[in-house]
Amino acid sequence: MHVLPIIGNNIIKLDAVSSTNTYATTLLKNQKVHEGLIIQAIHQTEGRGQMGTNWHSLPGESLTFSVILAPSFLKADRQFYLNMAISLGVFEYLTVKGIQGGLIKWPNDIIVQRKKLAGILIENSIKGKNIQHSVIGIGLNVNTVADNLPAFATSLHAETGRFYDLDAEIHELTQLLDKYYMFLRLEKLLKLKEEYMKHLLGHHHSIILRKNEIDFEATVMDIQDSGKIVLQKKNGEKMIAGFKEFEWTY
Amino acid sequence: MDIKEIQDLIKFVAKSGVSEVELETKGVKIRICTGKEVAYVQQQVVTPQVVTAPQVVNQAPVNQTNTNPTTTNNQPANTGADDSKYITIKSPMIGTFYRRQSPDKPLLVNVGDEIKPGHTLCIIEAMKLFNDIESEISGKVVKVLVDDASPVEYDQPLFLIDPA
Repeated sequence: MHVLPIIGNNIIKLDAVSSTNTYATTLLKNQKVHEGLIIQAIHQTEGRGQMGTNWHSLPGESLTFSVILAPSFLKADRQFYLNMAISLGVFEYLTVKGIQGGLIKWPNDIIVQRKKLAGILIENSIKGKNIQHSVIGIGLNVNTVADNLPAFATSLHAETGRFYDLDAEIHELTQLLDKYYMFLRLEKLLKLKEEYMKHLLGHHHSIILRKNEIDFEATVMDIQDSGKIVLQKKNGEKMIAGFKEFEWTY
Repeated sequence: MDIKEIQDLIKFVAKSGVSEVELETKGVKIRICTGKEVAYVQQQVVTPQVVTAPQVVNQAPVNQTNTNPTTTNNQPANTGADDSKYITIKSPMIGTFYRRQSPDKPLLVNVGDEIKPGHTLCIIEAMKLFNDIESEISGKVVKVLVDDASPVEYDQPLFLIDPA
């Protein structure tokens, strides 16, 4: 079965924008937008992370863009599969770039040797039970030299020593996003989950987590449809947690 | 002035609720008393006066219509148990309910706000995915059923809407 790609057929490049997600959301409100449109910022001045946090980047150093999708086939309570698809697309991109030791840190950070290389911010609009639109913001450190990175972050350059052409890289990355989005459209949810679990931090090795100031050792047993993480503590106790219900200790 | 006109005048005066009308025209002087004991409205003869009279009388009904709506307005609030005519908007997912786009932004909706389809009612954050929950209907927000920043379950009622 041959299916035409959706993501990355069209791209809007902006010299400077406060946030590509905000730009995309405004665009959606004001005009008809083709699914798969990319909004790329050469310089994103106020990249947003989760509520209140920011994603910092310098011009030409990072890939900062948003993808507009319309997964109206997807029930709102199954949206974590969209998150899995996007995380897997970014993860596979790192693999293609020859980076070893990459992992997905639940729910959607892409890390290498415990340092963050890429972040994802998904914003959906929901009407009734289904998703109407999804704006997926991706920030990926590309050419940033190690000296300019905070201790908890890394970049493609820091990992491989090479410098990259951002135009070529965004093309390669969006093709991989499209590959996994296709799995979602074909409702290969089990396949997505299997792959996501395979690359998930803490699934094969135990990790040290913290809750209420107390550290504990645990492994990830499962990810529920809702996206909640199922942990098994070293003492055998099972713990089901939502985002921010525990901390990572590194 | 014939009998018919006088009869009509009497009917008119009776309906108007005025207690007494005195009319003088072309040598005819008529005084109609409805028998109600009410203070006199000092009439200065002439036909137009009759026309103005109902306006004065209308004062009372006007006051009544002013008070009536307030009582009827109170009724829906008082009979809060009768929520059957309201539409409940439920959570389409497990997550955390937020009434603002971000901590520094104003509330997305307040009780009493008129909403239309597409209006964002709240944000539900589900495992770091942010969801704008948009209204499918027009109406008025009657009640917000969940506190800001609290966890919500799938299908948990979030808002009561009085449909337009």
